[in-house]
Amino acid sequence: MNENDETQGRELVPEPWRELDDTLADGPSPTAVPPEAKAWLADQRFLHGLLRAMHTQDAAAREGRIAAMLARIAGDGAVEPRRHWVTVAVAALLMASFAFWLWLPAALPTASAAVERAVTELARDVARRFRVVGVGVDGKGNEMVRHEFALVTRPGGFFRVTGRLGFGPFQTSALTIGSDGQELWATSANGAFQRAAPLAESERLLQGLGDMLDLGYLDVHALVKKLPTDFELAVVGRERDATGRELLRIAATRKRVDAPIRLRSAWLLCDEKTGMVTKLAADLEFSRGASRQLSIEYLGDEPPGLVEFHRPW
Amino acid sequence: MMMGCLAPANGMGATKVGERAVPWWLRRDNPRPVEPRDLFEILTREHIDSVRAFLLSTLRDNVAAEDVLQETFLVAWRILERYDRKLPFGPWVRGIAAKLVLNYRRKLGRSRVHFCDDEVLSRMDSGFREFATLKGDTFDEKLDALRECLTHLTGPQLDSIRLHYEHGMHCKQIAERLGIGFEAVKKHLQRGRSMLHRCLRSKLPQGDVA
Repeated sequence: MNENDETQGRELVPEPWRELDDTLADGPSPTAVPPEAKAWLADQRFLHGLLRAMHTQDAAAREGRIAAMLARIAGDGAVEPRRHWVTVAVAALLMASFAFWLWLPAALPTASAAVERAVTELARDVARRFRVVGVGVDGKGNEMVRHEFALVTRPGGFFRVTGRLGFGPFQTSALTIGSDGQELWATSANGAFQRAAPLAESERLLQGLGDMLDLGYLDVHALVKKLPTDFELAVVGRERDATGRELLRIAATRKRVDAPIRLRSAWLLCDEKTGMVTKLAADLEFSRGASRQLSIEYLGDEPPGLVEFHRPW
Repeated sequence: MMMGCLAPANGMGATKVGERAVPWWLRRDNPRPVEPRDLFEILTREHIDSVRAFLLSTLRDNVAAEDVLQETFLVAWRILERYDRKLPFGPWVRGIAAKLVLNYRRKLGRSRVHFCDDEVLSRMDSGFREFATLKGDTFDEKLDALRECLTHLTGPQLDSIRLHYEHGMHCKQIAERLGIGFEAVKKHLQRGRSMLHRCLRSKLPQGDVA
């Protein structure tokens, strides 16, 4: 809360300064700010942070945050005195190995229950951010395509994908593709390419952008929802990620082997606490030995209002 | 002081170094030394909310803020021996957060991080330092001052602030809801924040700077 020389406060400021406040816009932030505007901007941002923090207060999340941090620190051990760590580690390993076999079978929930929880969680009306990576290789193992996207999706057919398409050594410039539930649109980063079409005619728009952009992959909710119908599911283990979250690993095997695209293997990780899918990976087999790996990783909820699903022009 | 409940029963309280009270568990003559990890957990619990708010004022994405928050405390833990215990911990750890934010901005570009340079970050940190002197033991209790200030806002400024921060609505949606223009919503939000800022400043203890 910086002292202000003006006694009138900072409600009355030059109009151009208001454009420098990038907390209320989706676009990139300004490259430079005049020195005289910095105090006002810092005050705005200070209050912006306080208000965001105030409205996202959650005691359970706070404890989870601290626990994850302490787990990372425990794993790091930079300052920790190293007393008897070998003994402790061996004892822990023995205990864990022994306890694991006694405890695992009864403790694991069923795969369908876990997937059902994930479907319920994904149906919540919030925007979620994912990282999608698709890699296609030919029969000789040469990488032919690599597409990497940031995907934000919300139930109701809302999604926004930003990323690059890679074909061998070539890579497109950044593209953004979005849908507001009614219309599918695509634009290049520089705005030179802009297309829009009703969602029902999406195939026409997506032609030439590569079949990695199958809309089926972008509707994560629908994708997970149909897993119990199309796949045999089994919980194959429990693991912990880098932040200390307990995750269930679920393997999926396609029921119909005569499907045109053959799923070689697939698995997903579900957060035991929230039920949310944190990662989904699939290995698809094509003719002449070609294959494709698809990975969808959940990065978290997107703050409301920050992602625009309507076409930007 | 948030950690007051942990003070030992022998009555050993905090001492003063300059303007700053040094808690019993940080004192060099503390007869019951605290393990580094326990000490760090105490410090983390005391400062995590202010560092998170600092990051939320800078990063657009909540998830990115959480990632940088974790990274901040991990870095702080790794270099804890560099921390001068005579100085307050909050600004030190926010300084680490600020460096990580600048790195993050360089790496990911302007679309993910609000405008920031050393001066803006430093001014924001001053805001959080002063915020720490508000009445209340915990960050949440200090936020009561902001909650009280919000009750003084009226009309479209209050509506805009509540719709934006409480209900997560974008300016465009607020404009439609309130039947006013997009630019008007932006002005209400900015003026509302300025008034809240002035109100918070009026609640600062006179002459007390953390």
